[in-house]
Order: sequence, then C-alpha cells, then structure tokens
Amino acid sequence: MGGTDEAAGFGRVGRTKERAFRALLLASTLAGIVALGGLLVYVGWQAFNLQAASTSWFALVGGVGLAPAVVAAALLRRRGHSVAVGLESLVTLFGGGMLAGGAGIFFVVVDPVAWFATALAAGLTVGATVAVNRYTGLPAWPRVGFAAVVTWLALLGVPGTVPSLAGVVGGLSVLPSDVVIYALSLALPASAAVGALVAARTDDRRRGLRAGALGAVATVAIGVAVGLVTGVGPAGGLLVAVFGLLPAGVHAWATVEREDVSAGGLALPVVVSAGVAAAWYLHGALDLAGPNPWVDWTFLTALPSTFAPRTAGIFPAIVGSLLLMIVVVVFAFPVGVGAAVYLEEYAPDSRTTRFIQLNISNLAGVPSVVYGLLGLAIFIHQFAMPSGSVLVGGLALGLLILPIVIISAREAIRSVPDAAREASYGMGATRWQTVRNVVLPQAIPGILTGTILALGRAIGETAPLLMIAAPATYLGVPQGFTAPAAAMPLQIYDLAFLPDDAFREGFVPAGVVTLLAVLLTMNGVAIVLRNRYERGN
Amino acid sequence: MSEDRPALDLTEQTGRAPGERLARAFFFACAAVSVLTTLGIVVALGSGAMRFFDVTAAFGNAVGLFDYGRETVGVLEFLGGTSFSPGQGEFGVLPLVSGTLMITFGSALIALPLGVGTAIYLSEFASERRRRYLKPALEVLAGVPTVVYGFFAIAYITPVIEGTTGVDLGLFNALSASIVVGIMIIPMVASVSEDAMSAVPDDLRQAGYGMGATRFDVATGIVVPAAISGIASSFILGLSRAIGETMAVTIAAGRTPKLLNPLAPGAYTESIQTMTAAMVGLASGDISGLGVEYHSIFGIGVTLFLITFVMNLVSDWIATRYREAY
Repeated sequence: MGGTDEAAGFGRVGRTKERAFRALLLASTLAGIVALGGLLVYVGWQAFNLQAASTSWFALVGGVGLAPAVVAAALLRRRGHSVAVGLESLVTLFGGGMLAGGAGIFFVVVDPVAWFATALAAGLTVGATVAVNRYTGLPAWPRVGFAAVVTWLALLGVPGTVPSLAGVVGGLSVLPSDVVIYALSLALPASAAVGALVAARTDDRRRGLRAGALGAVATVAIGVAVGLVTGVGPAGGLLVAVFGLLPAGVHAWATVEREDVSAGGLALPVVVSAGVAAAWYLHGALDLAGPNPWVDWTFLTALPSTFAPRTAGIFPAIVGSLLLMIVVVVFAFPVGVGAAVYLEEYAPDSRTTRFIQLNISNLAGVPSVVYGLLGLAIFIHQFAMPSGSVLVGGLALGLLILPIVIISAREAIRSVPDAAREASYGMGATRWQTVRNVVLPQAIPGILTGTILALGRAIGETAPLLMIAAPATYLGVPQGFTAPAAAMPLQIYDLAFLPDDAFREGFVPAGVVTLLAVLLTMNGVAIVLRNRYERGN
Repeated sequence: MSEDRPALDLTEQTGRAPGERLARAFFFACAAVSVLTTLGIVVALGSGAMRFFDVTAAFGNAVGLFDYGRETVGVLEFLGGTSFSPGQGEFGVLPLVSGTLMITFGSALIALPLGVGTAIYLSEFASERRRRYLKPALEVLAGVPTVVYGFFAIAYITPVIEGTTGVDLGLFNALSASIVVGIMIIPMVASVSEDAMSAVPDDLRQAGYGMGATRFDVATGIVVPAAISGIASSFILGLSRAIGETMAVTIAAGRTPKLLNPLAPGAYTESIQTMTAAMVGLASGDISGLGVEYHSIFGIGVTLFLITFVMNLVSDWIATRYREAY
C-alpha cells in the first residue's frame, strides 16, 4: 500500500488538492454502497410496514430488544472478550434454523419413509463396501465391482425378480414414525460426525466416542422436548435440534477449546435471545401499536394469488427454490470439486490442461441467459426432459455456477501446503490416498465457503429459469424433481408488474426481503467458515 | 500442476493400480464436464441459429444436418433490419443492439469512474481497518440478485428521478435500468482494477515520494499508468457484464424495441428493449411450436454470445499482453 511509514511524512504538500481527491475517491467508493443501503432500508420498511408502528413500539424494540445486545457487546469488548465469536454463534444459530426450516420443507415434498428407505440402503451399501475393503484380502477390481453391484441392488434392485432394498423398506407393513426416522437417519449420523470431529481435533478416540454418544442422546432428548414445548411436534423439534442446535453446540465447544480467544463472546446470543423474548412479551402485554408486516407466517406458508395480496404467500416458490438448490448442490459440488482436484493434483502441464483452464475462465463470463438457452435446446428438446422442471432448472443453474465452484475450490486446494502432500507421499501413500486423507480434509472449509457463495448466486438467478419455461407463478406446491416449480426470484419478477399497487408496495418487497434474508444468512455462514479456515492455516 | 514436486516420481509406481486409475478417471471426467458445457452451448446456439438464418438452413438441409422446412430469415435482414417485431415477422436486430448499447453506455458512465475511484481509494488511501469493512460491503453490492435491482429501478429509482428532476419517465425507461446496472457492475470493475493496482510494487511509489511527489501525484502519475492494462481489462469485463445483464433490464427497461441513438441523452427517458430482454420476452411468451420465433432466440443468443466471448478474450489478452512484469 502507498501509505507506508517512510512515505507518510511527504503527504503534507499540496494539501487542498490531496484532500479534495481523497474525498472524491471516498465518495465514489461509498456511492454504490450508500445507494443500495438506502434501497434496502426502504424495501425493508415497506416489507415490515413500519409506518403503522407507534413511537412507543420503536422505543420498546430499541430499548428492550436491541440495547442490551449493544451494551453486552461493548462490555465484552472492554473486558477483552471476542465479540466476533458471539456474532459467529448467532450466525450459526440463524443458519441452522434456516437449514431446519429447509429440512422441514423437504419432508413436505419427499415422503419421510421413502427418504428413510434410501438413506438406509445407502448406509448399508457404504457399510458393506467398507467392511469388504477392510476385512477381506480381495484385489482391487473385484472390490470395486462388489461395491457397484451392492449399490445397484440396494437402490434399484433387479426389476421383476429382486426388489431393491429401498423398495423392501418402503413396503414394510410396520413403518417407523417420523421421529424414529429422523432420529436414525439424521440425528445419529450427525452425532457420529460430531464424534469424529471431536476425536480428530483432540486426538482422543474415547473422547470422540463419548461426544458422539452424548450428542445423539442430547439431540434426540432436546429435540423432542423443544417439539413438545413449542407445539411443532417431536418430529419438527428433532429437525430443529439436528440442524439448528447441534451445529451451534459444536461451534460453542470449538470456541471453548480454543486457546487464542476467550469464550465470553458466547454470552452474546443468550443476551440477544433474552432481549428479543422480553420485547416480544412486553409487546403483547402492553398492547402497543406495532407494525403490520407483510413478511409473516401467512406470507411464508400460503399459496400465491394474483388478486388477494394480503392472504397470498410464496410457499411454493420457497419449496421450488429449495428443490432447485438441492439439484444444484448434488450436481455442482462433486463435479466442481472433482474438476478442481484434477486440475490441481493430477493434470500434467499440457495443452489439454491449458485448454480446460481457458475454457473454465471463459465459461465464467458467459451471460446467464445463455445457460438458459443451453437448458432449453439440449436438456428439454434434445434429451426430452420435462419443460420447466426442477431438474432442468437445477442443471442449468448448476452449470452456471460450476466455474465459480471450480475456481474457488482450486484456490482452497492450492492453499494446502506442499509439505503436507510430500509428508503423505513420504509415508508411502498413493496419490488418491493423499488427496483423500490430506488435501481434501484441509481444503474442505475453503471449498464449502466458495460453494455456499456460489449457491447464493444460483438462488437469486432468474434468467435461465425463464428461458427453460419455469412457471413464474405456479399456484401449487411442486410435487417432486420432475415437476414444474416456481422459484423465489421468479415470483418477485412475476408479481412486480401486477396492476394492484398492494403487490408492488407490500407483497414484492416482502419477497425481496425474504430472498435477501436467505442470501445474507448464507453469506454469513460462508464468512464464519472462512474466518475459522483462515485462522486454521 | 504438480510438475515441480519431487513426490511425482514416487507415485508413478502406484498410478496403475485400479483404485488410482478409477480416481483419476473420475476427476478427469469432472474437469471434462466444463468442456462439454462449452460444447453444449455451441451446439445449442449453433443448431438453433442455423435453422434461423436462410443461408445456414439451406446449407444444413443440403448436407443433411437436419430437415428444416419452416420460415427462415436472411442474414442481412437480421443484421441490418431496423424493426424487431416477431409477431409481424420482422427480425431486425439493430433496435435490440441499440437498446443494449444504451444500457451499456449509460451503466459505463456510472460504473467505470466509480469503480476506478473505488479501486484507487482501496489500494492507495484506505486504512487496513476501512478496507475490512468496505470490501465485504462491495461484495454485497455484487451479490444482490439482479431481479431485485430491477424491482428497485421501477419501484424506487424511477419515481425518485421523476420527483426530483421533473422529467417525465414512463414506468419503463432506459435511464433507471442503466443506473441499477451501473451500480451492479461497480464491484467487478473495482476488484479487477484494485488487483492490478495492488500488484504495482511499492518501490515505484517510494521512488515517486523520493522525487517529492504527493499522494495524488503518485496515485495518478505512477500507480494508475502502471496498472493501466488491468484497469482496461476491468472495463471490458464490466462492459461485457452489462451487455449480458438480463433481469434488471427485462424488468426496468421495457419491452418496446426502438432504434435510438445511444449517445443522445433524451433517448434514455424512453422504454426500450435489449437483446437479453428480447430473448426472455420470446421464451416466456407464447411461441407456437419450433418455428422462426423460437429460433430467433438463438439468432439473438449467438450474437450476444459472440460479443461477450470476444470481449472476454480481448480483456484476457490485454491483461496478459500489456501486463508490466515487475
């Protein structure tokens, strides 16, 4: 940077011109940010309909809801605790809550029993493959063949003669309830992952086992309790516990374990929740004139309408966006990371490699509407996939963000020090073993950060969906991955032009705020991951 | 690239093991997907556009690529036509090109100076602390979905301009669309330019200060000229983004293709249509079958793709060809 110490003293000459120039530069930096900030404040004001609120309501929210958090943050900072840790855990809770909501919506579309059957089949397949690899002395090709056959049988079966494992489970006469399904297929693997993480961090297998067991019991118990207390039912509570509370717990544990930062910041989310709860209670008790927000439970859970803005909602669009994102992740994450691994770890410095690299950087500059044409001409008309379906939309969006995923994954892989690779090769590891055991574990936080940011790009993208004829206002909840579905940005686009002003001044701002809330939460989670990651190196 | 790694020789022995081969093949297939994507784009655009133009359709029929007997449009009629009205069978692309040029020109007026100013500020003047806040804020600017920018343009910016200046704008106008597209591409111009400025070595700056130069002199006389190739490539990238921008202009600029002079300020009060907006309009409208209207989307798409592709290549070329190596 120019402002190095030796140079600083020389800036005294020509002060007026300097100052004017500096002010001009600062103004140009802030121009866009301030303009967007103003627009966001205004759209938020409309979405929450804040002009209806009384002064005393604002005083209540400011004094009881927000002030304690600000005071607590100031106190923490003065005492030398890290406020960032508190913000991180707030973001973790928020992101987890969103994920829990997403899981809940997922199980509205996908039958939990079908999910359970698939998860069980997949789990048994992986288990059998690992067992064969570990305990039999078979050579490699038979092992690969065995894994392929088992996977095929478990998921698809032989039509007509051998039913698939998934089919067998789905056809059982006594089916487990949703709570049992979530406990077995979500809480158990999540707790096992936590246990593995603890074991790896502390280098203590026993401690990992204990943490995993404790996590499983606590998650199920707390989840059922939360479900019963709040009235969402044990199954819903379990989703909240698995996706919302378990990650926050892990984050808190990791913070307490850290030596460079004091864990005092963890008090911040407690203060914030207490403040919000108190404000909520007082709002009801004092009967103040509050706002009449457009973003409310009805808005999030109702079907859209083109004539009744007050009772209309964007639920189908939320479901559509969620399904689209699932297709995008399932497609773009493995392919993007695989391509990055190839380019960083395998590729020779050849013409082919350079061509692939040039190709990727050019793809990043192709306008999004062209990806829509790709979906329209190739997927729909060439491959005869259903027009406007989640699958086609997800694939088009996946191809759109693939270059971004590849580029960020390459950066993450490149930042793994070569010494780690050489140590692995020195121990006699093969290249694939090195990639699997050394490179990917170290690069995964960076890869996840890049992927989440890329997903943020995909969730707001509209033009490709319009090109593949996704229905802008689809009045029903999409039925699956081959069904047509709307998406949140499409809904915004479609309703912005309705003649009824209530749509433009209330409903659409509410949709914009919902979309931006999802995006900001995703960005927040990505930043938390990035902070953790950068410190790790 | 792992050529310089001594470990390479050690792993060659195991490279032939089936598991290793399988892993390598999988990773290569993933990398190949990106090439297949490009191929898919070329095939999709090419096969659609070939059926759109009369010459290429005749050629395709003659060599047996396809059997297409429906209406086609002449290349000159497309490139030189001054009226775009698919319903009447008029497919002149010039009105759409002029619409795209207007948005590009208008947004460039906003984004290029502000973007370069931002880059100079971040690279030469801002304290480390300010950079920590400003850079994520700029990322948010780039991360807001374009459909949201479009909504902002029709719902807030147009009324505000009408209210403050008294200019009579319709619901749709090129002015507000240009403004939001300009805001949208500031971060791209700023970040590419700033990378180029940060790469200018401190020695050059110190030499300037040693000669008695002020910060202003150093920034404008040394850093900007030294980083000029990066700044130029950031401009081209920004313009190419503006050309390909779809949703904001589809929402805010209107649906009426008009051949207007992009350099005339008065033209910006009018409702126009860009190439991208026309593609969206055609695809989401009622198109009967796979006829000339459907294929015109690909004709416009090919034009758009070629323009942005060439611009990206030129930007790459300038960045590498004129890079000052320090």
